[in-house]
Amino acid sequence: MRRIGDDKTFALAVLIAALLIVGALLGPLVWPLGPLDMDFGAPLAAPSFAHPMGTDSNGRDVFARFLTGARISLAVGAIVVLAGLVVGGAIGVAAGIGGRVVDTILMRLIDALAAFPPLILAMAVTVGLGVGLKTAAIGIALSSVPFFARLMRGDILRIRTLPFVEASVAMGAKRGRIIARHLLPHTAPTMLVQCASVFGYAILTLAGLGFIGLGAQIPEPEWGAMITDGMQYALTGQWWLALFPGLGVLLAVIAANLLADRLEESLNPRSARNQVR
Amino acid sequence: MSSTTNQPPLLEVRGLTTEFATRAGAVAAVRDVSLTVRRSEKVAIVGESGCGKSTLALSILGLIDKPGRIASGQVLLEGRDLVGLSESAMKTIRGKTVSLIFQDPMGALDPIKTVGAQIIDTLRRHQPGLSHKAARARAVELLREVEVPAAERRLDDYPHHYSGGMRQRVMIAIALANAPDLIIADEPTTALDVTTQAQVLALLERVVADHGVAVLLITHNLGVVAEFCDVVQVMYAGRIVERGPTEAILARPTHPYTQALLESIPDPARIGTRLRAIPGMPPDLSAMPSGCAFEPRCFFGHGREICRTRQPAPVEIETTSGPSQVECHFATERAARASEVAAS
Amino acid sequence: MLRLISGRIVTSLISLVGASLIAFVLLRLTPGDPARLFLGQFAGEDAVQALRAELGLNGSILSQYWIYMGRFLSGDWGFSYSTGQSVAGLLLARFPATVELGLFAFFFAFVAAVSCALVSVYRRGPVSDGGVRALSFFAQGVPPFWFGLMMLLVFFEGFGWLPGPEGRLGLRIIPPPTVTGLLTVDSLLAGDWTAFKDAIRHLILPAVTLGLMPFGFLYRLLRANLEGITREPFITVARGRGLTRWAAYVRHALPNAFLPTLTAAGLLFGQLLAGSVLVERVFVWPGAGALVTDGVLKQDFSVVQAFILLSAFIYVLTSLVVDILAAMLDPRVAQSQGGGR
Repeated sequence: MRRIGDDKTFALAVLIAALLIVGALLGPLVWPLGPLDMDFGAPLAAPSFAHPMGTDSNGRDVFARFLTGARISLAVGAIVVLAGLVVGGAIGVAAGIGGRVVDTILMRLIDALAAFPPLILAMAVTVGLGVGLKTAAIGIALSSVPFFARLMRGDILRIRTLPFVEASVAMGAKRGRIIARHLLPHTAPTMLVQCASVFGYAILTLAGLGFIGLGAQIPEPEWGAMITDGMQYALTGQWWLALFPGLGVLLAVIAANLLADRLEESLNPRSARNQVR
Repeated sequence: MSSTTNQPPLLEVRGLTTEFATRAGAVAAVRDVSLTVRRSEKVAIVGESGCGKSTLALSILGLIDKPGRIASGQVLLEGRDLVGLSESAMKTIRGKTVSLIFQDPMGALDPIKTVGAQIIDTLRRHQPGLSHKAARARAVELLREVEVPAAERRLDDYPHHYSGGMRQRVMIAIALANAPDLIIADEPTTALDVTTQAQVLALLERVVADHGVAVLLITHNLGVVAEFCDVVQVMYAGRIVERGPTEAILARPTHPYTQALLESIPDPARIGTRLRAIPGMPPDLSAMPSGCAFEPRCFFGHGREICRTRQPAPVEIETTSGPSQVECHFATERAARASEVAAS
Repeated sequence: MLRLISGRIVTSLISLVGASLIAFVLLRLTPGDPARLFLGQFAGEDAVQALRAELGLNGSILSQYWIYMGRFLSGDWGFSYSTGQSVAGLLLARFPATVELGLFAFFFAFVAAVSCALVSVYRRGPVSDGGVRALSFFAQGVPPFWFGLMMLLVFFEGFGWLPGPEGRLGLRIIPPPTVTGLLTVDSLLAGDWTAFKDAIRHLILPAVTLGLMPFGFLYRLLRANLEGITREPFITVARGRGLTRWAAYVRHALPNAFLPTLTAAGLLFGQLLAGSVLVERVFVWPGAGALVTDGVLKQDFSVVQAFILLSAFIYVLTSLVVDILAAMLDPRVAQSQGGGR
């Protein structure tokens, strides 16, 4: 039985995602104030018509910073998903169709990456390569590789044994052709779900790295760094500095997770949620 | 026959209807079912899978969960209506007055608790004064009674150490634990291989006779029914379409569905005749025909105006071994013809 | 069973070697001279050269890794120039605070997840179910540090019900004598109710904040397992034996749902470990996580690097222990002869 409100929450997720994407793409072009423009006449101004999310200690418009922050978060999310999918997916395919030796070597490599809690691995990379937004993105992408690789390998191993694939192997189809025509298309559904959830993971982790100072640096308009900047003012009354960027992260991640959940449900009709009982 | 008419019925189901809420609206899996089980009587409910017989069994025990519900009717146990009783009231009845033997012995025991723990739990739940030691001794006795070898040692084994047949013996032991008046056995032998089936059935027959327990046996196997039961109720699409003494119904079925069911099973007495499968499928419960539910598949009534449009009312038929009841527009006609054939 | 365990130990060891290699390579990639980084910019050239020799930085890359691991395993995790103390000493001193917070966070996550999962599966109603589901999405989507800050805004700044970001005890409370390092335990041992109550009050917000993400994760996992298991015949049979539906769920469905959840407890531990880095700073909690963020702030990465490798060890070992435990608790695995699955 489909749950009451499921379609509404799905619509909500799409709406949030659309708003964030439009805001990220067009917002900085339309909004007259820049994310780094300072107005020393109005530091720490409360939200108003001119500054819908208030201003920070240097009079920078929080709304302008929020929009650019959305752009950064969504861009990093997209890059991480793409990189993780390509690298992790390739490792997974190679492990799945390669022989025992290839499989063992690649999977031990993945085990080593997965031996760190994901955020900690991303931290290790930024510490090693130098602190910043770019290295944070690289670190998060690396920490997402095991997610994709393990899933892809499992999928490939499963699909490989399906009759139609074995038939085309028996008929002497070329390996590349089998991968491209038979294996990859069938992994698309699970990979799509994984992409959506890694997208949410990337945004959350980017904010975390920014917050502890290993990602974007203040005054870069990245959501996590903005929260750090706002932290010292939050308990003295200037709550808007930290509130809005946090809301941005929350909404973006929830939208991504809702989409992932819903995709999985519709792709896997036997999942519990679709059953009558 | 072990039943005597002047005794009050142990179980009486009256007009029971059980519905399930689905996206397409409420679907009734059991429709207006009435039946009676007297003390020590063995009653069979027969039908194809999906006819609602398992739902009926669960409904009697109040084990229907959302989105299912009992829409109307009564389940009278020694005159007390069980419908609408709370879980805490039902728990004193289930496993005590009425026990359940479930169809799937592989999944019917908790895999991470020992067999002994599950028997002992059943005992102590209904006999709070029983010490753990005494309960354990009783559990060993029960396992011996259902012929589990090395009962004492096997008490501490987990279900996965038991074969399917052995597990079903454990289920029988659990059902017997608190000396119930009625055992509801839902396809107790279906999942077992043929030799094990016979052994388990023989065991069930023996313990039921020993303890004088009444049995409501749910099965699709008419061979089991012939061997075991006094009374048969034939179920089709949620309704009981024919009921009566086992001998009469198996020898001379009146309802076309019962006849078709009998002809679809191999019988050594009819070697050489062809097996006949029943054409078509049971009706979709959410889109029932307006007349007789069996009409679309019926060799006798298919296409007849009255069968297509009107739900048949139950008709009383006298047989040599007692009265039977049939829901068919042509019951009287068919019964008469059958006795003519038998006489000639 | 034995083969299962020894196989699991071998793969864990391989993961750890791999993880330490990754950590080592990343350490060597760090721009600048590691010896200079360790000693800080004010150290003399002689000292730097001496440390280079000691660290084996003049040898081959393989011998460098060997020395690095030898030092790590013998408990020499480097020197923090910003504090002038050894990293091992610093981390060990901060560890009890992190452990206490982690335990309370885990307790919160566990109790909340079990009760939410049970109730939403038991009630089968769209309202309770939708509510809990929304909560789990929130828990998994909210940045923990931000959530902690908002909690402080509401419960400290707004209502004044709970203490602000001032660490583990109020300023006027005298800490109990150290026995375990866990203030709640130590204050109970000392019979000091005031300190105990204060320690609990200081733990509530950080523990809920840290436990929120593990709660969401655990809830979703448990819920999915429970939903499958409550459909198993043995639940109906248990009710047929005389258990109420609730009792059958608690006594039979829940233990069965726990087994597969247990193997995921390693992941949960990783979340707590990583979360401590994000959360402790917000509450000025004097734990290992705050030490790491302080290190980043002061550009003193020796602490960060030690923490990174240490957390890989803790993470892998916990997963190993939990896997073995799960195998031992499951009679189907534990009692199978010969082991292999």
